[in-house]
Amino acid sequence: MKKVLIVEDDQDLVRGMTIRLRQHGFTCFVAPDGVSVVPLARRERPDVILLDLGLPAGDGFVVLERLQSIASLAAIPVIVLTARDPESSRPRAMQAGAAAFLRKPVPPDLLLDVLRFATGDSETENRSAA
Amino acid sequence: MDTPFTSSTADASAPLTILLIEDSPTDVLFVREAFRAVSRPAIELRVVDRLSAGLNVLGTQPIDAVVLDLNLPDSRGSETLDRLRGSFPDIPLVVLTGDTNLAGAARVLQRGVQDYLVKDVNIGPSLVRSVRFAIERHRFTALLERQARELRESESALRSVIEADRDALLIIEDSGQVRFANSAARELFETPALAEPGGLRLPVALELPAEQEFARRDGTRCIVEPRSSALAWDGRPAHLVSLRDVTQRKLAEEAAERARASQIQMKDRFLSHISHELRTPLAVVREFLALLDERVAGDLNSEQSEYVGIMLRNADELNRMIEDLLEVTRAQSGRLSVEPAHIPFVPWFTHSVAPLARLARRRGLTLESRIPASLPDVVADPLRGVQVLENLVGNAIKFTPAGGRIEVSARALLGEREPAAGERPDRVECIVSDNGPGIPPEHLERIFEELHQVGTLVDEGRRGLGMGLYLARQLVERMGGRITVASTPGVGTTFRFTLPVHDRTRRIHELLAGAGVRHSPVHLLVVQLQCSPGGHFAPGDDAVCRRAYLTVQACLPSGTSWLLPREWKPTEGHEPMVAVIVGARAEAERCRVLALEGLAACGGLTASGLECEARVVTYPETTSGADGVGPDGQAGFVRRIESGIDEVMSGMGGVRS
Repeated sequence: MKKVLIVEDDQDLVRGMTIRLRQHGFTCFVAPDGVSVVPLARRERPDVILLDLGLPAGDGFVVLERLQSIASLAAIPVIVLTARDPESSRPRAMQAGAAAFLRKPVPPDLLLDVLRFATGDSETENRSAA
Repeated sequence: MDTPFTSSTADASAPLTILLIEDSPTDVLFVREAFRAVSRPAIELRVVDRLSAGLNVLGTQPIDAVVLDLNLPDSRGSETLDRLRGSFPDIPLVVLTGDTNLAGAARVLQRGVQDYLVKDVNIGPSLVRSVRFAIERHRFTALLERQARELRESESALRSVIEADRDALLIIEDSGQVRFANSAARELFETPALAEPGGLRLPVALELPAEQEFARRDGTRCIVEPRSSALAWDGRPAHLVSLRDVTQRKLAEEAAERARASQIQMKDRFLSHISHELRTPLAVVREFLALLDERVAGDLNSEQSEYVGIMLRNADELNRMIEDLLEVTRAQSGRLSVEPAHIPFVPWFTHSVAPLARLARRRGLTLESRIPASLPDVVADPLRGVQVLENLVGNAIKFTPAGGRIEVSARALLGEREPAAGERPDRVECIVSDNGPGIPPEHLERIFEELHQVGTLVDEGRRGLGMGLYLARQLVERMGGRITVASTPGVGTTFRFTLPVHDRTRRIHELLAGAGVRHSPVHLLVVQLQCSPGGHFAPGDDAVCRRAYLTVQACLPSGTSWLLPREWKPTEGHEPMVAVIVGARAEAERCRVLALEGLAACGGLTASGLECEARVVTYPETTSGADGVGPDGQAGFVRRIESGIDEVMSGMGGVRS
């Protein structure tokens, strides 16, 4: 079972995503702010991190750079998921080492596809009701 | 003698008064006799026998000329001349003398005497002639002097105008020597050493009519508008150069521009912020609606399911409107990003239309897609192309009542017509037509215009129309195409837009020109990111799509290091990566190493799951010279690159090139 660390301060959105990802066989952990990301990532060793850019206590870019700078965490793919204008934030995120850049609201199928690709998980079939 | 006494330039009929200063009665008689023969004009001769009396007459009466004997009872020799000239420097004067000494004559003539005659019995005719010439010469001299004076005055007036002109005026010879500079010019530049060649170096390029900027002596900015016209100066080719100082105006314009830019920036920031704020709750709404729709929280009856579907659709619509708002802002400030790439048209079009067909079906409409089995590849931004299609089909869906029919199709064109057999098309036209209510003719021409035109349309219930079409036109035009609309109320509407056909040969030529490869030695690299068979076309999934169609992206001369943008790093997706390197046969091994280094630098060798290949194409023989394009020139060079690409492509199992 693949582990996803969701970094997101909007509790409603966290709830919705958690429900969906569990439905599709992912185990979810939630960091509601920037500072708790690294300790949680060290403890849980997630397969992928879903990162919001606008966070209390630490901008998403700062979190991304910290993750990239820690050798044991740098290999974890980070998928940026944000409501920000991608014009400036997409290149910055990709430059900082993000594996993918997705915008809110993200179509559920796309999110699942990207998560599967990032975790190298091909056995999970797409079970969403299309 | 009846010849006119004066030349035609003077009034021939005006009587002349001549003063004779002579103490010898015999000589007076001779002179009288001489003038008696002259009838026209009438000559009046006044005679006095002393200089003092003569000066008195000259001081009180108008006299046209004086005939003077130098030796008089009250004055002798040159003293006589000095006294007369001292009082009347300008009067025409003929001297009579008994002295035959020629040296004395020369001395006298140098002192403003028009003629010098030695007394003789037959003096008559020569005296008349002398007096006549004296008067005439005097008139000419006076005329010349007046003209010279007037010229001096007018030149000084002109000079004061030129000096007072606030434009800097310079006359510069073709050699660069400055021959004249007015005060504004002297102030503007370091005081030029006018007589020295190259004494002034103008910091502006005179052949350019555009505004130019340079630093003044005190370091402040100066912006001038140069004008230059050719003229001859002292018989040499030169230029009259005028430099208008527009610094104040430009600074004001720049300040206004900065204010405008900062206003736009503020608006952009505001809209970007708003859109972020709106998107977050919208994302939550959409997420939970999707969960309901997917029955995650339990079953829905058919009515509940329908309601959730309506909510989902409208949440998506709201999302699109927020996106359009941002896009319009970008378009208005010229920041609409368009990244044209090489797209295989048919699969792109098919994949893009499929989700739109599903959307139409859900709205009770039929969407039929009819395209030929083969159409040429195009150059377009794949995501922007999808956006245009979405906008046009979205409009058709919105305004066509249930049961209606939408048709999307495409065809190849050469100019405005379909190409004949054997002709190569230069564009592909996409057509979206519906059998909806149509658009009134008075709205047709404004339909692609900006937001402010939408008001009336909104009033008539055409919600959202305007933003999407405005963007569609901006995007199509940025991709080098054209968008048009035709509509008949009650019958339907047809939108058409074109995309330019991909011409690989031309693209390679462009890249070669852009990279300056023509003049670089030996090696050339083509890095190619290809779409895999059945590549990704999901609209919105731009992370994958953007990379799927990059072909022949860069031609780099070797030694320029790897300047590929980091964004090219293929961290996800399945695109195989190809480097084609072209070089002289003798350099083949070095080329292969370069190609592999290039792929490594792009991440091609390290990212898992990527197919990578380097292919070396060599010249038939070693090139000589600095050109580096090979013995058969640019065209042959491009042919070898193309065949190299084809070889690699066929070796990869039929990936499109």
